[in-house]
Amino acid sequence: MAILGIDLGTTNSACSLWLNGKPTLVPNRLGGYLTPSVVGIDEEGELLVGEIAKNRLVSHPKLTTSVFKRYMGTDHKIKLKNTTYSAVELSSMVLKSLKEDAENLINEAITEAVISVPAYFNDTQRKATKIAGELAGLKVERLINEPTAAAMVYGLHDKADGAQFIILDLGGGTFDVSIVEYFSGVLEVHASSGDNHLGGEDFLNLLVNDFLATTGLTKSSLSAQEMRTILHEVESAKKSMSHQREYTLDAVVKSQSTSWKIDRDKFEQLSKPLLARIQLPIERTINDADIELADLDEVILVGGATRMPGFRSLVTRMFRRLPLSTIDPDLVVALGAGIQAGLKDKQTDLKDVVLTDVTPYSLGTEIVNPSDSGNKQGGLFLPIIERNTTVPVSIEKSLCTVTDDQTHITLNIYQGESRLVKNNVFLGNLDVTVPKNRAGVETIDVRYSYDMNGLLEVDVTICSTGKKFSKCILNSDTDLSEEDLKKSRDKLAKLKFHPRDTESNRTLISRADRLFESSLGDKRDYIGNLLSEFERVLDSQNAHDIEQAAESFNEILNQLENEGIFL
Amino acid sequence: MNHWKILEIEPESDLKAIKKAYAKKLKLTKPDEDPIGFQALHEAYKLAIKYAKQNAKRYPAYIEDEPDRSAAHTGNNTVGIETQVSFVDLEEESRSDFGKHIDEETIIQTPFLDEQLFDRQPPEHLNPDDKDSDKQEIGYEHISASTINFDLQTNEDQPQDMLTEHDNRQTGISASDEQALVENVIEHLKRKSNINLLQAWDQILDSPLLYDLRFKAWFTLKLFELIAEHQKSNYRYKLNRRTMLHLDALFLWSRQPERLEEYFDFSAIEAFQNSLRSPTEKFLFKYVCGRQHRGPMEYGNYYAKIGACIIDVALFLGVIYLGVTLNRNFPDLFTAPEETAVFLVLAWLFILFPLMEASPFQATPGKMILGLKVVDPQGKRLNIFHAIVRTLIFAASSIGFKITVWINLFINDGRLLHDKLSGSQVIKR
Repeated sequence: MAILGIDLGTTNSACSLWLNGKPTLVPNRLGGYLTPSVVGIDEEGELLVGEIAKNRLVSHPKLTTSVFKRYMGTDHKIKLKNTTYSAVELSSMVLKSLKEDAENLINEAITEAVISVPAYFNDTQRKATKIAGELAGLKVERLINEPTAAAMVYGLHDKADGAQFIILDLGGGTFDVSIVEYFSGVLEVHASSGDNHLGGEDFLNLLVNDFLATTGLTKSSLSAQEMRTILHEVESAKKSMSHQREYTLDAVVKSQSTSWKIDRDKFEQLSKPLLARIQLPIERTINDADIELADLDEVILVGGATRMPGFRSLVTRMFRRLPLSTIDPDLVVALGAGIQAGLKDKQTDLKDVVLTDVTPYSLGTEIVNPSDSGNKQGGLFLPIIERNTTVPVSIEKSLCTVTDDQTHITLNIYQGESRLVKNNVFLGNLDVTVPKNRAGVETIDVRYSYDMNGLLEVDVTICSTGKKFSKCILNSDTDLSEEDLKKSRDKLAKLKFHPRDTESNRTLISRADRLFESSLGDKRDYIGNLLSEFERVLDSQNAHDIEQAAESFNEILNQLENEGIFL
Repeated sequence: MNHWKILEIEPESDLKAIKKAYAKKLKLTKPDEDPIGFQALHEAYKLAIKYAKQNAKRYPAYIEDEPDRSAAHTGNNTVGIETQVSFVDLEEESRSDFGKHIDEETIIQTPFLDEQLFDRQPPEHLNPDDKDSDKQEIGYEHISASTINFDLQTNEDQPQDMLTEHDNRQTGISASDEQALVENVIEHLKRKSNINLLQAWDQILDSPLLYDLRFKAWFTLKLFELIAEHQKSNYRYKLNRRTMLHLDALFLWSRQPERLEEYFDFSAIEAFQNSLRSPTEKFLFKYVCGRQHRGPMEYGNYYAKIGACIIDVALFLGVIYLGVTLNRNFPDLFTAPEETAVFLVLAWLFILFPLMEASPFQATPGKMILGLKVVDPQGKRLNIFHAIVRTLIFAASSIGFKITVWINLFINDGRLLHDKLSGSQVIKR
């Protein structure tokens, strides 16, 4: 029984399986390895995931959605055609699509998975990811941190003993840094840090804002469809920055042709504030790992956004060496998740590999702040598990009552680094009752256990009575009860995936639709004609004709896209 | 159990042996199968590593098997062992260490540079001016250019040209720039009133030099030194908490106390930590106390208490005298001066004293002047009823003062009779 290794990304997802002694990427129904994390519903109410949905972002913005990973662990709802979905439900659709691709590859049912999450994901976000897996019919065997997954690939690939490397993972929505050492089959993460809201999408937004400012447009004056068209065009401008110096974008907005120029200097100037935010987690990780810069053997880049020239030159300047990205930065995490899946499956090839990871945050509890007059500061934060402690770990601390005749202790559980709890993230609370006594006499033992998946469990024992309380942390706002889960499951069961065999043709149509929307004049008519011609061939149901038509149609579309679709 | 025993190696083994032993044991106690065993093993491993690293610091010769790193290591470590190096020493040590590092790399890497230029550029572009200007740049340029060459051999799909181009645009980064940055800071610290302007700091620190982690590590210490010196020598124009927090967010001093301790004496670090602490713990008026006494409680001196009492009584008599005089001049306020006196005595004793002792001052004027305050046995402030009871008992015991004075002399344990009876105490502030 195979376990699937999944990289569930903000913009793109991929998955791999451990086959024949190495991780093997699973191609999706279009033959590519990357499946865009975009979900849509078509006019017939059928579910669309991946490239086809991405194309429909432009033509059907109300029926399609993307970048929902950012809302994992929150109760933000996204509306698609009269029904609202949570980020967890949308993610589960992507997972389901990946699962089907993998099942198609090996011709057997897959029920277990390893899913990668950003190292800096908090407890709530990790739980949400796990639930998404379960909704997709996958038992989530392990959540692995993305930089750690990448480290496994590089570590096992190079087999250099005693090598220490720093991994910078700038994905679509998150930034992670990990310092990792590989020796005698042990992959040890020394320290890890990051920024949960920093990724390629933020750079894209910067460019879009600049585009709007230059062309004098405002967000409110644009329809969702026009906004999507702009996003799409600016995205290709951003991508072109990694291989050319400047790019002129001639877009058609509100039936008017607008022009916008971007070059590398300007891009870098614009992204300065974001680049500054990249430096901080790197420095923090180096400090925490207590490592000399000279001892780092390699700087490894992971994640599609690390292709940006601004990011690369920043990293080069920071470390005074060129970073390494010999393995495709978009796919390396999926490969790593595949290795972890192989590990979990106890594959004999990986018998001698052990992975140890750390907790990226400090976890602790609120205690009384005696010097706080006027309740300005709020409670103090008492860390119980310090950040960058190797997991799994279980640590116990004793706390006592603060007033006479106190009968209740509310244990507030927080994560973060600030001295004051109000600056940290609240994870949940645990109410315990203690016998009446004088202040400071009744004590409780608080035990925090952090497992390998990065999930926290809190146990409280009252010393005088030996009574035990325990809680697995789930944020109350996003806490999904059994009933909610069932509801989600029913809702998703109603949605049917579009049949696999027609998917590639439909993707072609969606692509042509997108081109049609964003061009003008003769070109528009030309694409329109091509489209109706292609649809006519499809209706004829002659397999041979369809194949031929699809091929030539694809070629023409490629040509149109390459030469710039605008007249 | 001893951590060496858990790892099953000889005590005081070196880093390599520890790691090997740990790896061997780890395969038998995998973290997902035996979390408790793993935690014990990992703790032992960490302790062993810590011990080995300290040992290596003490006897730098132990790490000779890593020749390329040992130079940097020993340089730093000797500084660490000699403990409190003076500011001047720090500058020279790290500075020379830093400079040396660049030089070494430059020397090693330069041969590649020419090769690379020949390899990658068609001859017509290779005009002598370009090449000369390339050679004049020091350190940073050479390194980045040559590592690009190294990287080319291993990686084809990376966009190479843009990096070279980019870094060539950043010409003229040199030792003098580094010096200029430090001088800018020194200059700014002299600027008195503008010293806390965050924009000015941002302007100074917005330097491409600080991208370089090695330079930044050095500069982090240098800036700390400059600021510590400034805060110590300058009484009027100090950096305030907001500025310190801003700079700390950039240089993360508060996250690396060990590193600071290696180079600076304790007083400088303590002063820095105090400047970051939130100001709510300080009070506007120095006689105001916190809700709970902090630190050890020391009973007030017997004579200080008598002195406080005398001051209070003097004030008290003064007010009565004033009141009575006023009453004479404005007879319609009260019918008789005696009535005024009684009224004032009652108001003073049963309203003003308790109010003052239950207020944030926690003392009557006499006690305040002599540095005393009234607290309950837990060191907390009295509430108003408690304070009234205390004053009543005080009044009762002073009526029979001929007896209570003797009692107080005999039970000389720091608490007077009325303190004991009212469950409160007078302590030093």
